[in-house]
Amino acid sequence: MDVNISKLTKDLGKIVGKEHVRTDKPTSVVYAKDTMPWDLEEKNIPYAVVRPSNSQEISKLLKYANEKLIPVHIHGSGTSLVGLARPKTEGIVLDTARMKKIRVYPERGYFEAEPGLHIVQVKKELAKYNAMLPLFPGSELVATIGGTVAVNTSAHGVDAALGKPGDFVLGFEVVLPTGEVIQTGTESTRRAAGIDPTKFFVGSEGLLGVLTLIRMRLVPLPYFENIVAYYKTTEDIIDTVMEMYKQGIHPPLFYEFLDERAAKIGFEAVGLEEPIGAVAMMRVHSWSKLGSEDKAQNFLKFLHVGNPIEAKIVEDIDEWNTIWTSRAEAGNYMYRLGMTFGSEISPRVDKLKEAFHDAQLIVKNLKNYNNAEFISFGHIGAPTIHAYAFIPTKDISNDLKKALTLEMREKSEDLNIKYGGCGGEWGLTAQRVSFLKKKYGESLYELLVRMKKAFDPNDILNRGNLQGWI
Amino acid sequence: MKRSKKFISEVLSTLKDNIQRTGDPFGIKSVYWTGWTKGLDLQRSGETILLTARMYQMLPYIIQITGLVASARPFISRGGLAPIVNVGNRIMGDKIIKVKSLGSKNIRSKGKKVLTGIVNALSAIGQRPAYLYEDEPYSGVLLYDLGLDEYIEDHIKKVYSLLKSHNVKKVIGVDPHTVFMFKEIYPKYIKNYDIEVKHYLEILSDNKDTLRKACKKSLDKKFVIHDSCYMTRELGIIEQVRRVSSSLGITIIEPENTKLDTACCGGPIEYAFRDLTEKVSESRIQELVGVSKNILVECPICLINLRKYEKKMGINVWDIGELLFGAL
Amino acid sequence: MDIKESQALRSNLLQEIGKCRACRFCIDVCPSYQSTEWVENMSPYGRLQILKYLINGALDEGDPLIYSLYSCLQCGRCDRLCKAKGQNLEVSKLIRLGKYLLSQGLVKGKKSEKV
Repeated sequence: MDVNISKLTKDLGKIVGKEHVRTDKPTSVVYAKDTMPWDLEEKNIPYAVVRPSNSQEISKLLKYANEKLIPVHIHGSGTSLVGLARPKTEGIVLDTARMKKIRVYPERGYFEAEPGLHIVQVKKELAKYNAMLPLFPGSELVATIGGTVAVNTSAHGVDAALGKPGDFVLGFEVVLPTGEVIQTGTESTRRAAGIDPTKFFVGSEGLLGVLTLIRMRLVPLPYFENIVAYYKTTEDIIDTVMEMYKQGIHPPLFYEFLDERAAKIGFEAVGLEEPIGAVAMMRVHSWSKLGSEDKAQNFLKFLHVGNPIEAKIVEDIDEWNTIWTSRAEAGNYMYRLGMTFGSEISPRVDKLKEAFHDAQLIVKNLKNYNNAEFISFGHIGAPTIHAYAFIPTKDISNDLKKALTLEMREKSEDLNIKYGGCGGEWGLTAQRVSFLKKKYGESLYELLVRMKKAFDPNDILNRGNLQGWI
Repeated sequence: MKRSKKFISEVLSTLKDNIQRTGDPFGIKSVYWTGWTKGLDLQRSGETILLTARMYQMLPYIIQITGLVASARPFISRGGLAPIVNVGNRIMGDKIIKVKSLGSKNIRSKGKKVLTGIVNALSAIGQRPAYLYEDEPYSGVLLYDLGLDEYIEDHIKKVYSLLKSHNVKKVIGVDPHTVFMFKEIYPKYIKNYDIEVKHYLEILSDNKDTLRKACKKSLDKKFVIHDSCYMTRELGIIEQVRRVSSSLGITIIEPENTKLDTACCGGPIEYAFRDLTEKVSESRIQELVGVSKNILVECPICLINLRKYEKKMGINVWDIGELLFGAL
Repeated sequence: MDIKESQALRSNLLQEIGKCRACRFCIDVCPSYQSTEWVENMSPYGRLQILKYLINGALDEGDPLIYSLYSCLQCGRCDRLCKAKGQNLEVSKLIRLGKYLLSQGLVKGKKSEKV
């Protein structure tokens, strides 16, 4: 594409202000880099990074981009784990970081937030009103509310316990890819029924519009009880999860586990005694204190079905925080010893065990690396299997990093197809496109392409993500 | 952001030249760091010395030179920074040590109080370290902070042999940067480094009961504490200032972002990026002033940096050394 | 620094920076990130990436790069949150080493060796 950079800089400067347009290469590189382990290529590096402060500026920007046919890639936190964040082709990066306003209206039962606010900041604001944010990304320090709602991910949360972020969205202000600013949804706490366009933009992964204001219902903070259970093997935990759904028991809000290896690493990292085998951590919730205590007691009784070595309610908040942190630290400390390549498999619940065994086989039989080690930990109760291939060295080439990432991605997505599932956390475009096509077939994929074209005739927003470019 | 490269290049070159020529970051040859000792009768030699590394005494010059530099910044392309700093040096250093400007007179007396307070406090618990007077070296911390590692080995070796020539076995530092240098960085460049390094707050805290008894009056005031980045995260000296304060009868209130999570005052880049520093400082002061208008610091850089906003944001910034001076 | 030392420093930096997974957990606590209306190249993550691409040869030592690296206050808040601290990644120390590397080309009176 032939772009006159100095003209571009001038034009963009007129839209957002000179100081909020950056065309120097260091800035471009920093914004283009995402969490994928392989290096940036020339095509990923944008001409400019633009930092608007309101929907009017974004509207003008998109109209300009359509006129000049320059792609625009939306940047929230840049932490997508399936490659959504990296620009797939040269263009303009739209950084939402300056849009950080939040207003809570307790008398209206909702809050409105601009997309660039980090989740932890939203939580802090909502806590003042005794409200909970119904989404739980592990990257909450940096994940943005715009990005989380655009991907519609509940991350740690077990959907069956509470729901996904989209279930709580009342309406949006969106800037369409062609530049029009529209309002969707309602200001009541009763969400619209019918063909409400709010639904189209939830989970739209930045393809159909730029979210500039998100209105979400205030969810009162529930009461929690925390349970930890120690098992001889991971199989016991998986059996428990399957049985839980079978018996129709309301799942805990968080249902995490560490397999035998991850439990040792994680517990050592936080200074706890090495567990015998696998560990499960659960958080039960209810909007009444008695209710949460009762729920926890009942769940504790139910856990016996998996033959835990020990299962107990953790009363001491510090003890709980240490145990809970071991999960994050397991990941961090594994990286000390090598590299991991992950996956997200959310199978049909009654196929959880088979899917888990198949995931182990995939890791053992990778084409690109012999005898990688299998490690798993995460939201087993969701149900989600995060199967990791662990390579005990960091000394591998850029190309091999890419090849391993993509091999794990493709093979684990085959398991999603085999066992009737579909990832539940990370979105469906970019690296997931081949899965999308394989699972749902060409006609559904073509439908999505037509829908994209209807919203975005010039393919301006996040070009390349729906195509599955890397 | 514009002309950052030329500007930083000037600053680094000037700093390196000054230290190589004179051992002082401002290139000042005349001794400006001993005036505070009048009336204190500090011994000239001993195995344990009080090491100010000239930090508090430098403060008036830092204020004046950074002020000069900031106003010269727009004209930097016309001749570089060096001529300005050199003129500044000549005005400040050799010719006129009696700096009379208003802003720096205040900080000079504050600095004297801090150092006197420290000496009095150590004396009250039975410790009388010596002081090297004109021989007192600069720690070299600016060289380290700005990545001028190439020139720091020379400086460190000179300082170390100076200390050795005075038979120094233990150093009591008064500011976190100096203690950090002597404790963590010097050993990297000196084989068999055998000097014990402590911050005075560590010593006072270990003897807090004696200190409390020695206080002539209990200060009975409330302060919000602004921990120093280096003290907490680099040196792990966190509770000491709190213990010492309580011995003086002071109530410490913790702000948001305290102890290991303390927020930076903005000082370290003040020499180069004034606008940025201002925003960092103001944001930190907003956090502090919501808790109390009286701010307690334990580092000379935090002191001069936050003091700049006393009038604008209605605060009062105190160094713990001043409070020691007041209580004893 | 002679050529050998310079090479060693560069390859050591690349190896250390390689531990960074671009998780961006460190950006919010950085005072310079907060004070520039959240520009990512004024964050610890941004500075590490800039340093990496400088050593790789993709970036040159111009004003934006110098401004990014030298505006680091060395306050160390980033190290507290780094997800790679299990691998002993000391972000603030690496940025300082980056200043050391750059000083080669910035201090006058030296044979200016481009990074």
